[in-house]
Amino acid sequence: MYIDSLKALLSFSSLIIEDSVSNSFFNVNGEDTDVIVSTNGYQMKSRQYLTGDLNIEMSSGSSISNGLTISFSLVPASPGLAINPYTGLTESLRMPLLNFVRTDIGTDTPIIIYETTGIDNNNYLNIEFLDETSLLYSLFTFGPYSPFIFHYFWISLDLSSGEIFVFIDGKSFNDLNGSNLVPSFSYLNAISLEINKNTEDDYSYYIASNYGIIQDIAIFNEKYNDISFIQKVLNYGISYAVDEDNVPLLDQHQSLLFNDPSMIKITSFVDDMSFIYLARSDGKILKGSPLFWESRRVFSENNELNSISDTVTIEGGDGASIDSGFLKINDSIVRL
Amino acid sequence: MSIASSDIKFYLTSVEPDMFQTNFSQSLGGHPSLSGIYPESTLSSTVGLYDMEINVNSPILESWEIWEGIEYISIGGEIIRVNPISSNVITVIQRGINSISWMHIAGDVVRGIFRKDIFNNSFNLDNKQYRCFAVKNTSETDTAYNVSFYNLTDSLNSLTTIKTLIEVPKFNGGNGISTSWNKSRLVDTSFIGFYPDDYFKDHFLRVLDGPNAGDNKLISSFDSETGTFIFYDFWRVDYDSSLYSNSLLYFIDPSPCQRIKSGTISPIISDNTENSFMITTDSYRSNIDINGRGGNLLPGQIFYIWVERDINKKSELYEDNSIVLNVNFSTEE
Repeated sequence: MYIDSLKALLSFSSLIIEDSVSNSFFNVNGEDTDVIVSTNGYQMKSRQYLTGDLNIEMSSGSSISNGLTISFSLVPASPGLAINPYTGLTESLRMPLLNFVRTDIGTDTPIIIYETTGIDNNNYLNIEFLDETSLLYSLFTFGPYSPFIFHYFWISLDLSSGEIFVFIDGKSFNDLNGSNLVPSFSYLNAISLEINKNTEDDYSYYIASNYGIIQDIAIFNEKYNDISFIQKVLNYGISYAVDEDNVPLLDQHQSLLFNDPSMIKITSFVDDMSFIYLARSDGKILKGSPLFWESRRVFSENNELNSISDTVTIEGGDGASIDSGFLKINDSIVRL
Repeated sequence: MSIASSDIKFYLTSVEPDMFQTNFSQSLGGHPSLSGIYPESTLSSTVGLYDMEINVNSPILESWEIWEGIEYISIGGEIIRVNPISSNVITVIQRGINSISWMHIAGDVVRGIFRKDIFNNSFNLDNKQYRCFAVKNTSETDTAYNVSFYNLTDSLNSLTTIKTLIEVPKFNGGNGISTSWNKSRLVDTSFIGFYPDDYFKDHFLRVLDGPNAGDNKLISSFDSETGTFIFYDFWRVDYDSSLYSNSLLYFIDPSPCQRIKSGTISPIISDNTENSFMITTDSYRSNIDINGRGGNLLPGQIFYIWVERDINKKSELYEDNSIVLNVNFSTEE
């Protein structure tokens, strides 16, 4: 059983895309109908977007009037910057993520969430709110965050105070555009969700499809900026956190760090005068040259110098000597 | 108010109660020691998934001195490699060396992993060794409900197997009021007939009021017929009817668990333990409700975790291996 405030949850795991709260299915739209879904989520791509109705009461007087929370994970893409064909200057590229569309009157999109690229090679999260007349009410920008790695986004709206709380990877971010406010949304009746759909009427040089991987889109009809709940979502997953049975559960962990020693032992040794064989407890047999072992010996007797002279050739140097148990070759080239 | 995660604490075990255990390899059962497994502090601010700087409050019990030279810390289930620690700001070298990268919030417990010899290199002929830890509910008022235990992560070395065995105390602590007492004994007639003779032998009794308040003694014997506790040595102050009351408030600590003579000897399976060592996971947990003792951990109550480390004879040197033990519980009954 999910907690009451959860109104939609899209966890992509198969080609059938279903809101697991309402059990309603999402449609695949666009020219490209091949959906790519992995355990990491839904791979967004060009000429394809998803749509589905949300079972959220957004009309005035319903519980949505207090707050709304949207969360999702994303592995962002980084297509680079756009070049303005008129000025030749580089500009941020805009990539769609989530649009909340009014279904009672057609196609108005009161909430638009999209990414933009930055000159710092990072991405930024943008949230546009439109008012009742479809005019821009406020635009929030949060970031930066790095592309190509997993991020978790948590957007919580307090519709009574107009405040917005955004957490990326568990850290609170401030709006880069200043202190804006969120509209009350008292005019909303029914909405649907669009994923990776551009809202601009015409394609422009600064607009691209999103190629990121999105997963675990959750929508709550409450303001949730309790950091311990966000921690539970990030660390244990959204499915765990929104399970009613798991709400009162806590954990206490104790890590232990240690080194494991080598358990391998030499169990037998054979010298057949040509090679040395060592048998190990893990079943491996090592074969080595006896001369190799000989070369590791400690040189301690001066009279060994003569035998060394027989086995090494010293060219143009001062010859060999014994120094503190080491065979010392003085400015010579040694041929073994 | 309900119980918090930080109310549940892990301790090394020791041969006697109320002592610090400084030798990891001697955490072989017996009483809970006063030593946590690692020194602790708490976070002073949130740590996001990719943050490389960690702000901590001053250590809870020890000074920063014991944190000098620490190369690893653990927060929640994550083990983090860090630069030498000298202040409340810790810089990270590598997050999640045990493959867990989590976010952490202010108040989360930070442990400084100041030694890696919780296990040593002494094994029995089966290449096994054993350690024992105590888990205590340190809250004075709140109960942890439906307590279960499992390993959040298994050994990173695939040739090392970590199994655990839960042991619950036969008596899990409780208060009482004496009906009489003197220098060598304490009598509580409400205990008559409830427990067999010597049931409380080697339990720790703490006097909470009267002239010996704050003192504690090991019980050497218990007489069920009279409800009399005899101690190994004398109390500091003897009874004097002109000065003191016969009624003393006291507390008997939870029973110690069995203590093994060496870390290479397996503990014995008994009515107080599970039936065998097990590999536990999130979906295959140990419950502390053994033989109907109940699955809740009341304030001050404990249970013990035996850890068996089994290294395959083919295993080569493996540095920075780790496991994460986890106690899961509910704040609601």
